[in-house]
Amino acid sequence: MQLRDTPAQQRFREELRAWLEAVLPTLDRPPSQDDWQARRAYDSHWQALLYQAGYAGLNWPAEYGGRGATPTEHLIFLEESELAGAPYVGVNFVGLLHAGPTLIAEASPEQRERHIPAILRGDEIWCQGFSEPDAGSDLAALRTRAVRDGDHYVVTGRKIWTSHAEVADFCELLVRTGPADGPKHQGITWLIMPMDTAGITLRPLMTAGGSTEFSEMILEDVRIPVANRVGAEGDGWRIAMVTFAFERGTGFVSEVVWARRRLVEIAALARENGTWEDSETRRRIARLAAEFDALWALVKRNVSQAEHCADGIPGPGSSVFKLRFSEARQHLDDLHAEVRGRESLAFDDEHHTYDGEPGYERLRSLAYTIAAGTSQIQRTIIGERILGLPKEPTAARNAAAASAVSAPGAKGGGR
Amino acid sequence: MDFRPTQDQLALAGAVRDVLGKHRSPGTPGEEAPGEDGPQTGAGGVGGVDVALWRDLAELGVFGLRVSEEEGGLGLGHAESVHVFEELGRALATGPYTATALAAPLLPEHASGRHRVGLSDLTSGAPYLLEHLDALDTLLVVEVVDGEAHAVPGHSQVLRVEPIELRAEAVPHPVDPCVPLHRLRQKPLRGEIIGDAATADALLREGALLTAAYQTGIAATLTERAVAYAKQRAQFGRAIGSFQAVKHLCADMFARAELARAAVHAAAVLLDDDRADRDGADLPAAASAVSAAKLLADEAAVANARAAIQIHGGMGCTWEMGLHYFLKRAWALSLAYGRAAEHADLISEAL
Repeated sequence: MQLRDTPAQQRFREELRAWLEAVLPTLDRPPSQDDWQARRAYDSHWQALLYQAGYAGLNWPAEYGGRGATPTEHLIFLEESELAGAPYVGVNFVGLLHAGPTLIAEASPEQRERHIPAILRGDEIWCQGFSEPDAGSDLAALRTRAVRDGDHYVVTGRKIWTSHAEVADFCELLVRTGPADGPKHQGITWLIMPMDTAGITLRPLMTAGGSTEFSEMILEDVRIPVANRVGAEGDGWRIAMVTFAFERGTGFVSEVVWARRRLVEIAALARENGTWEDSETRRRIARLAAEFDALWALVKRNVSQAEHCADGIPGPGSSVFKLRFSEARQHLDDLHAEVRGRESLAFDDEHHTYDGEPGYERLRSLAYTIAAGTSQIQRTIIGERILGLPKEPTAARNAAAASAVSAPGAKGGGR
Repeated sequence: MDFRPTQDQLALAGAVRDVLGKHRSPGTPGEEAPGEDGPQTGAGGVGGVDVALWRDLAELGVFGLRVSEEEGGLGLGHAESVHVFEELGRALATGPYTATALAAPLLPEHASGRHRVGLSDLTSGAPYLLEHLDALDTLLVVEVVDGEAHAVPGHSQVLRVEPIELRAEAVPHPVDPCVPLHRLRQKPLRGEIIGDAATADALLREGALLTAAYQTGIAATLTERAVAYAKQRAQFGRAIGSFQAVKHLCADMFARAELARAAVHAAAVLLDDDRADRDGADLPAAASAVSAAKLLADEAAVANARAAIQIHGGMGCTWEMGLHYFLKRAWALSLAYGRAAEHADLISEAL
């Protein structure tokens, strides 16, 4: 049990640090978050720089153009990038963290050949078409229909929370190919939808923070080639679950580093404006520092476990991290506002980059306990998958239980 | 980096757990309900200590864990100690385990565990409550240097006091019925100065770490007990653990215990690294990590004890269910080796 870099990890860290030091001063100031074309150009440029330096697809297998780095090296990359103030993954998020890993795990050789190198270079932007207005936490209830018509699927429905849809080239799309009244986890299919196909309408959804990060996506008779299907028809739920495991494992790691540094800034501000004299405020800041340090230790525990398990896919332990981090992050932004006092009522962000502006971060963090599985869903995952508690009764399971009870010999026990 | 516990650390924890499993402990379900005198003062017990358990753990080497092999110890580090103390917490092992383990590197003649050592931090003033006094062979007292103000870091020292020379009265009803308390009637204490301020700080810091590990054990074992009960107890025709309201209480218990354990392990590793460097360069970081671990582990133990009682319903509040022993110990330990506010102040100084 130790936390120190091995000599190889130390070398990796030093090389990365030197590269970041050299390359970051060459970047322009980040564009306004509302200027989607500029954001795409900025994020793609950063991705291209990473690609040229051999840091793109860090944890992807070398045979697909990745670096084949270990989970620990990936953690070092995220830590050092955040400490150096490097750009976030930005509009490449879905391609690099969702679609790419899923394509590597499940797609055909032709599909991989077509998309993987382009995602790595930053030439291809992806968005996600999973959630629907009536299928949020209960994602498997999705109803967007795909009807086979020759060598095409004809897709009709509504998708929501589609980040970066304005500039995306492709969408990872979950559709229902099975009967609407069939078992909901079956009959779901995973499709690659080119975003320039006819029949796609985007309706921007402005968040409480004023950002146009998300869209609602209306699909009317969108024709998608059958060749764009990943995996078998009806196997989409299992494939989507692969994506989620990646999302929970690495999604918030660099944010812990950010939050810990933000806390030091808040402490400095509190000393400056006198709120530090209030022992309650001071101790709340300290309590949060303890929480973030512990979360960082938990990340290292999870990464060490992933490094030494066969598939490298993060386990359900990452739910504990997601649950506690998202709540701590909201406390952090509230505390920042409290220390700023009435100053927290004024946005100070003339360039609309939003990044780090405390008032905006406070509103943005509302979504932390909701996105990527709500806190309630995380608690259910911990309760059922880790602690082995019986599942919550649902309409479907009630029906199954009723038929089991009526069967001879079946006796209702404790569960 | 490999932050997983090693096979050796897991084996050590397993060996301690095996020994603990051979002895009765307060709060074990199915044990005969103990009376007000506490469960361990019966046959073979002295001053609230189960002497047979103490002897078996001493034979295993738990007191000389961090004493060098030349001096008869095991030559291991904090990373191993926290695994042992988490097991002690799981079993609610009762006695001056923390103080005796802390004293061993200071007084190597005590590494065998043949003598029991207590430790009291009297720097913050009254009340002066001493634990397990009748079971002690030696008492270490962290005390303010004569003429100095109270509770100023760097102005304390470690005294070695003979317990039989103390004038102290037994507290008739300690909240934790397993830990006898005495109220000290006489100050200042006379004793031999065996350590300076740095020694005192190190003792209290390491004591906070071991106590945090013990609290993590309480938090973890109560999660398991609450989950087992929630699976088995049926109301409204189904196991109560199937209801989200109960399931989510259990999930929060698990999250608190896991986060506290990660904090405790990180603090242990950082303290070990600091010792390995022997330059004290990382000491502020390690000290903050210990305070973070103590804060989170105290919270986890107390909150999980409350949640376990809640999940057990009315029976959770009874003497015979035994959960109250865990809550009472968690309360007592959260006032030992630094309260939440003191550790928060320590952390804030480093920010």
